[in-house]
Amino acid sequence: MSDNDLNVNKKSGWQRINIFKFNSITPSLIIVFIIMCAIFGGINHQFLSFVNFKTIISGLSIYGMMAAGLSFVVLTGNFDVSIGSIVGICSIVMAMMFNIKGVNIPIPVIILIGIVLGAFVGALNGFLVTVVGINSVITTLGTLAILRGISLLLANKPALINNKFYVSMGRGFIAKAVPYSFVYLVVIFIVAYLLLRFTKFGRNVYQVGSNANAARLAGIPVKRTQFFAFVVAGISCGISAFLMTSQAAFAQGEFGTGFEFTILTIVVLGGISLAGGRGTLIGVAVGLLIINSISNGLTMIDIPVFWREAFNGIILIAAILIDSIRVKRRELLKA
Amino acid sequence: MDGKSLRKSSFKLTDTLILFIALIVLVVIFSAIRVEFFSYDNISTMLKNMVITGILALGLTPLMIARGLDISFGASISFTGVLMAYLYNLGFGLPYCLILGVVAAVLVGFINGLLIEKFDLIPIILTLGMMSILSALGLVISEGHSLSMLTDQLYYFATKTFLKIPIALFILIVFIIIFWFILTFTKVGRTIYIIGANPKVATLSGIKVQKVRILLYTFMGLVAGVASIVMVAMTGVGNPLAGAKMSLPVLSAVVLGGISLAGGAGSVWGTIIGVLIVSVIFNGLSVINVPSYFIQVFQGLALILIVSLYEVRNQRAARR
Amino acid sequence: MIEQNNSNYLLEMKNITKNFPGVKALADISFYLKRGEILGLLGENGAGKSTLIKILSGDYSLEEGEIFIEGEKKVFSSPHESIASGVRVIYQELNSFDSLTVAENIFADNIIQNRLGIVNWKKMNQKAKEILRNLGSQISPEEYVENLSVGGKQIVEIAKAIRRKAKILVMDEPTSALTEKDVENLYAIIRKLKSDGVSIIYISHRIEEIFEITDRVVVLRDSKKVGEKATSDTNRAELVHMIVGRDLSEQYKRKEIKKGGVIFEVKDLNYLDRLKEISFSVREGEIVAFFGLLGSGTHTLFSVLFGDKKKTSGAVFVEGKKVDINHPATAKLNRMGYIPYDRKEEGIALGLNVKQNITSTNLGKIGRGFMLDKKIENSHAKNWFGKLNIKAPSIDTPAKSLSGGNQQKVVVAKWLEKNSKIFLMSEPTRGIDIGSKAEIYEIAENLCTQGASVLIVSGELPEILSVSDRVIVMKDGRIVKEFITKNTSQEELMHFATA
Repeated sequence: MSDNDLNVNKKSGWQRINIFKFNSITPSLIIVFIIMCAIFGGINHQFLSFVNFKTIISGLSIYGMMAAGLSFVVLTGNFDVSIGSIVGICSIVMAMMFNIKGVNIPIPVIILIGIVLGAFVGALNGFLVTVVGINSVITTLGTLAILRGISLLLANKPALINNKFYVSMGRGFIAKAVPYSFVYLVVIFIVAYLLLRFTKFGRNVYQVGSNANAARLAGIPVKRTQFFAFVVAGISCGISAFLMTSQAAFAQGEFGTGFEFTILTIVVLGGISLAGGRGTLIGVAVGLLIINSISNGLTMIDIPVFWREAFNGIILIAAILIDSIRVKRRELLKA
Repeated sequence: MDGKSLRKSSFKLTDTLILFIALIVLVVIFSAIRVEFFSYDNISTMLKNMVITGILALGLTPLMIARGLDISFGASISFTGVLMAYLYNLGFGLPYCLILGVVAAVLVGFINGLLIEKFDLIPIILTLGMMSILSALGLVISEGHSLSMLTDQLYYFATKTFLKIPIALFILIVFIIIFWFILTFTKVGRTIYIIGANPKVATLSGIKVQKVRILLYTFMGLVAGVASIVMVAMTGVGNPLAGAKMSLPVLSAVVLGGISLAGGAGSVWGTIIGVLIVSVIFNGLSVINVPSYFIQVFQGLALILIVSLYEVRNQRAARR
Repeated sequence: MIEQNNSNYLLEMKNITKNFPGVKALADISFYLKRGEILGLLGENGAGKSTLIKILSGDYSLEEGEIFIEGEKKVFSSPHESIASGVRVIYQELNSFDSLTVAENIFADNIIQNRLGIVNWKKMNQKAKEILRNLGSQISPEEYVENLSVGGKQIVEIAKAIRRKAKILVMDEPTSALTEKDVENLYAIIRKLKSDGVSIIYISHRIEEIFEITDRVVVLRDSKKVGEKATSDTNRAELVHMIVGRDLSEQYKRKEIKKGGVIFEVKDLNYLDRLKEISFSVREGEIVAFFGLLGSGTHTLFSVLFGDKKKTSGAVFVEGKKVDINHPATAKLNRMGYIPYDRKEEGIALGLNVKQNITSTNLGKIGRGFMLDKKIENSHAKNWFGKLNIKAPSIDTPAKSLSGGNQQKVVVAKWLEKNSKIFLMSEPTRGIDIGSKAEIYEIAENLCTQGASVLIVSGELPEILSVSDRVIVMKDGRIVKEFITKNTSQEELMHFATA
């Protein structure tokens, strides 16, 4: 028996272009990243300096952790646009915990509360989508508004955080070189990656996203998987809230506004297909690097602030165009 | 197999009826809490503010019936408004500014439609990306400020009333009539419903679904352009952040009115009642002094609640 | 001679009867399966094969009759239960996780984990490799399923099916999408399974395969078992006869219709690798049937002809003029009409009512300019409503309330409304009651009397023989042979379709 089993149909010209290759977009992303660094570095040498490198690394974490969480949801084939608001409310609540008169809540508990709150909101989203059956876009659009409103309400009271230790958790460096925040990010990414790759839940996420019907027939709990994907996203927002409040030393009602867009861009760019069941966190990591570097690089080459948002939009559109072309290719090969 | 037919059509009627009752209930509640709610001044203000949301929701209606979606209209309004104000401040005549603004909006709509249909992209993501590009462009042109655009004509339009009804409201009424007319009485309207009912059947019946949708996206652009003019007239400025928070209320209104994201059915009346409900909630809460940032909580709640009800009802119907 | 000795048989199905509303799907069918035996199950479309298998797998409930596995009586109320008893069915539509690896697909319902709950990829890949090698396949367990050919995917399905001790493997038309090489591979796998003691029920219409691989054959026809033989004891002609041989007395009687000139011609049409060098022509007033078994390309052909799929090469001529049909709108312009195979998803818009469906092709004429004239719409709809005898409360009845037959009439009305001249009908009477069937034949005939032509894909030989003027037999994407209907027989047609 033969390799005819692998008989993949012939590839025509443009299909050979790397970025359209199936299964992994990561190599192409790395190439894109290198080219980009070369361009930015060429225009402004400072871009490639160690100091700048440190700056980029420091800024990765908040978006990065949320991207890791959102990946779970998108992998199962859903959306979550409320992640910015989840960060907002967790931030406010955590900051408030520091300011309760006469009560001194230990830091670990505060962090835990933040994370649990995030998980709870995620569960709410999950419930509405899987049990009630509302489209995930509408659901999370609704929770986005509700949470944002509550955050703004709660933020009327001052939410400063005077706890030096807490603040140092977010702002500190190891040996003056590696930010703690980066360490958290790496840990979260590793944990998320391990979850996706080596746990039954993680594999279920991929299976449900790849073919929900086949998953059902194979006895995989489709709704439960989708539900917990939302919970994971919520938890990641809780952790991001911790980092944000720690680094800022306060919390504001608007924290997290607009994050969902950038994070979605990172996730899509990183190769997580909107159709579900496809993509890895490694790709998301590179996507994260690219997006943050672009933001940084644009500053370095003196592009006005406002243009940057446009760039992200262009990147998102480019990413989905590429994704769409890859899907079309797959369909064509199938026929 | 035959008796069911009547039940289905009365179902739809009941839908709108329920929404209408919900609307009345809300009005009653708010009036009870604060009598001023039901005053001429307040209702008039509310209706005026409703115009923009209403126009946009109406524009989305045929598009969503045909299973399309666009969330970039808010950014389009901001961008267009800024563009018009910018040109006006450069010295161009008012008519030119307005026309160019609308043309720009139409172009954006066309590009949306083209990309989505030709590349089979997910509408919400593409328009999300477009939204950020437009938003950024608006900020670039205006350099972050609001650009003033005060003219007599626009002022007149924004403030005067005709037969005690604000002029701006007439525009909305005209829109309602136009959309209702198109959807109910024209061939185009019927085509939209056919596409919504089953795009594949529509294609196999010889309908060029892609072309129709591109048209609808372009038309949405036009609608956004008009809405932008109304906004500039009412506020007197081209504000790069004006449209940012519009997606939720408008989308809520449309979804409340019974048009699901999956498309298919829907009507102008449902949308209008949806718009009314959203506006009443907004206005009513303002009147009872709920801070504006908190109002979105109620809008979000209303959205989730009503859509849940739709879902539960659909599931029950499916089981029969 | 069926022996009633239960314990010797792996599987025994006795007196299985199943009725669906208005249709008798299975009538008192009994058969047995020995250990390590490969049983071929033959029959036309609608003969009852699928239903029988679905009862065995627990997908359908048993109405009358009994099932015994290894002498034990079984009642399956869900597919999970039959799987637990060792029954595995591999269906036509492969349910795979395309974006995941082979190993993960094979172990989808039972991921290998170590004690801590951690997925053990190494072990999974290893075991998957074992299973695959046992089947004689060189596929790598780490390959992504979407990269495999259809044959490869099928092997993965088989591996998945036998992973947990399978006793009875049912393969439903396994070779319809396979290349010759893949089919050879499949034979080898099946033989290996047999030597491992697995019994296989092999459903196929390809008679040469039956002779190649099976030990015994059971033939179903019109819901009954009409024959059972050891493969070595029979021949092709006999099998074909069993499959189609029937009393043709109750048949629709055709009228003689004068034929005109050539109205539709196809030359060397190709579509990817699914249609090859298709050439034929149709005259005015003719009804031409296209007959082919699963995978022959008949449905695809109509899809391509109507512009739903884009042809790769070839030429199409309507009334002598060359046309490029890239979209159904163009086909419509050339006076073609299409009644798709999938009535509910592609033929009729269930969310609309009868009159809206009927007029959906001809909006241009329903009123002047932009306006839709409700009066004209009503009159047009009522016209066809009456002429086609559509049974529904009114033209405002929602389409989903109609029976299948009447829904189909609405679809036909759609194209009558457009005054089409060339009708492509893809199995228009599938799943429709006898009364409505006859009505549709009459409609087709009337069309031809008025100078139109009807091309009809049909899987029912009696229908073809009674309704058509000519028959074109297709196999593996090619036209095998053309016949003049009155000069051929069911057996001859079946012979060429399975050749």
